[in-house]
Amino acid sequence: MVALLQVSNVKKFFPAPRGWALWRRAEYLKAVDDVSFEIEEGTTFGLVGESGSGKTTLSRLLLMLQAPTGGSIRFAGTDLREFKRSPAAYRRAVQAVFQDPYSSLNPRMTVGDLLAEPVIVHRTGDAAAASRRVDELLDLVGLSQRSRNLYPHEFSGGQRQRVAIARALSVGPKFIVFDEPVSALDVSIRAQILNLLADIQRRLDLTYLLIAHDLAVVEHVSDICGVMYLGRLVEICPSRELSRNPLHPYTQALIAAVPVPDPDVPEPVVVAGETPSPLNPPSGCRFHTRCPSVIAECRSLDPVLREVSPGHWAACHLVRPSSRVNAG
Amino acid sequence: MTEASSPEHRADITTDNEPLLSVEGLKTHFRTRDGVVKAVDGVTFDVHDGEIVGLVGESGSGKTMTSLSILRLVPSPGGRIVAGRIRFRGRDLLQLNDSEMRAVRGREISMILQDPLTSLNPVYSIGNQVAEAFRSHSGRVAHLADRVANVLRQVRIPAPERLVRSYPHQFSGGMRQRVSAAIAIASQPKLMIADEPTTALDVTTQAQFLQLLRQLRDEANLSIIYITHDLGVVARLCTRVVVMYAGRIVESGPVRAIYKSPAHPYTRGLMRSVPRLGDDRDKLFQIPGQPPHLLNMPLGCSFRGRCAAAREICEQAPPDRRVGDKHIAACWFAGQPELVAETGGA
Repeated sequence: MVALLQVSNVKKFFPAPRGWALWRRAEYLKAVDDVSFEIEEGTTFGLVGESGSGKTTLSRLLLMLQAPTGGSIRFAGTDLREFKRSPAAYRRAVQAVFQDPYSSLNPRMTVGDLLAEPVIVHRTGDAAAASRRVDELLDLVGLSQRSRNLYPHEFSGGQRQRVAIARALSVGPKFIVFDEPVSALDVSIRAQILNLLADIQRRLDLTYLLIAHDLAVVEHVSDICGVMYLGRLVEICPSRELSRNPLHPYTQALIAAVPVPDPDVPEPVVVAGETPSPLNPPSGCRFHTRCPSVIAECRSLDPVLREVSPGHWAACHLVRPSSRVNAG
Repeated sequence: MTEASSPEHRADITTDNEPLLSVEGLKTHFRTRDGVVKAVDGVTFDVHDGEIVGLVGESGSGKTMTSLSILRLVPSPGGRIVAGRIRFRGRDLLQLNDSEMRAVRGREISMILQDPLTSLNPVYSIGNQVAEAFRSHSGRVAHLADRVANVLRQVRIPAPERLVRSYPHQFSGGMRQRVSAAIAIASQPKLMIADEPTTALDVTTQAQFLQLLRQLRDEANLSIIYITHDLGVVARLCTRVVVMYAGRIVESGPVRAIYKSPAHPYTRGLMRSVPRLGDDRDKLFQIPGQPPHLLNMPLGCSFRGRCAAAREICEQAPPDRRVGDKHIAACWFAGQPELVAETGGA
């Protein structure tokens, strides 16, 4: 298979405010620091990480909403910098669905207008074609034809997220970024939306990037998972291995912290401490301040992401090919 | 594992005594332009000493309104407790006058909210805000600085003497929520209501906070009503579960009974619709439709529009069926094998 999206050594640094101390050396917040991965066509790449890990910044780089400080992103073989002159072509191919459908839909437009607008903006069809397209889109996301004359506030959260998905699909994209698509929804509605995403992907042969903090959701929806910590990808693995064979101690800590909906599962060991400030990340391995199996070289040497077994990558000094750290 | 088995054991010891809190037939209604919204419509449950009760439900199920009713903080005008009794340590809270109720709030029943950044005052130091909790409940307090440091230590804030001069924005989300917990336990309350306190936290921080709540329950003999929509958190933390749907309780019982043999079709559907780590299902079970609109509630069982096992009889209000030890489900078919078959096995 071909990689639809290739991310190579991408960095995004934000200058940190110096205040009035102009003589001080400029500091940078390294939101994304040397991240590389690929997404193959027709698959879903799931990105997990806690707040401040850089997953949303990374998605903004992929959406061409911000330019990376370093490294390159290639979409279908073309560097994103080449789309700079004609961004519309990229926007037709790459769309996004965000967490909160309340703030991402214009409250003054009917659903019909919301769905027709991208078609008209991108000149993919005339008014009649746009109207036919709205019919198709409503069907595709499971909304009734009656919905086209309603306003976003007349829908529940789940239905509104369906509208946001339909809008992303309206221009016929190949790749969609979902940033926390179900975390604002009620539990009984989440399954409906997750099943809908899988169904649409199969029918339209789409490629997804899914960002979520809920590991079970990411594992369920994705083919490949990436785990981020303080701007770095610390592990990439097939989703089936995420909970069965996590290699990086941080991934193991994340998995252990997820509350299992079964009162008979014994209480896990909780990882101590909190994520350090990304303005001043620890030296060496960034997780060494919280890692239960830290060794001397973790404090000085920055581990590289290495392929440990086919398709399974980890950035940890303790992980040797086909071995597993016992970090509790 | 002692951690997992002790809570249920505790619940068994205490159930024979009079409950700490007993909510009976509580109804909280809102008058709106379009009609009466029955946010809480006949809710009955008990909380015993040292128990953590999980109040589970989706938005609009009435779980937050139930807790606000217990503290008599229902938004007014508009909202009103129209019926019921709330017995707390031998008194009916609904009969107290305003100043008596003020003495209960915060001192005997305290509350933690979802977002500590909005519940803490940004312009006062942490120490000042915790000290205020002592002062407002007990007037002049001797050794105030020591007591502030002690209560911060109790919620596992490291080096409290140094951190009392910090402000909320200098703290991380998890530390801020610990400060809220310190304020909530400052007056040594018997009951704490925690409304989605970990929803805004990361998973590792959440795990640490849940551990803290268990420690506070054991050390301070605190009872907790934990409001959440997260079934995982409930399984980890609670001894008993109350499931709400559209203003009513559809199922309640010991945590193990609810998770091992959920008896109400809504609870069953909810359990099966949640993705779990390591499960291989291709497709998640989905509960069809949406919760009913509170202005336009169906007669009888409020879940029947989404229920695969619904029959004609469901148009009449379902009885509270006992399906196990202290395990009750409000469903005509609760405990019957046909229901299990029609709602798709366990």
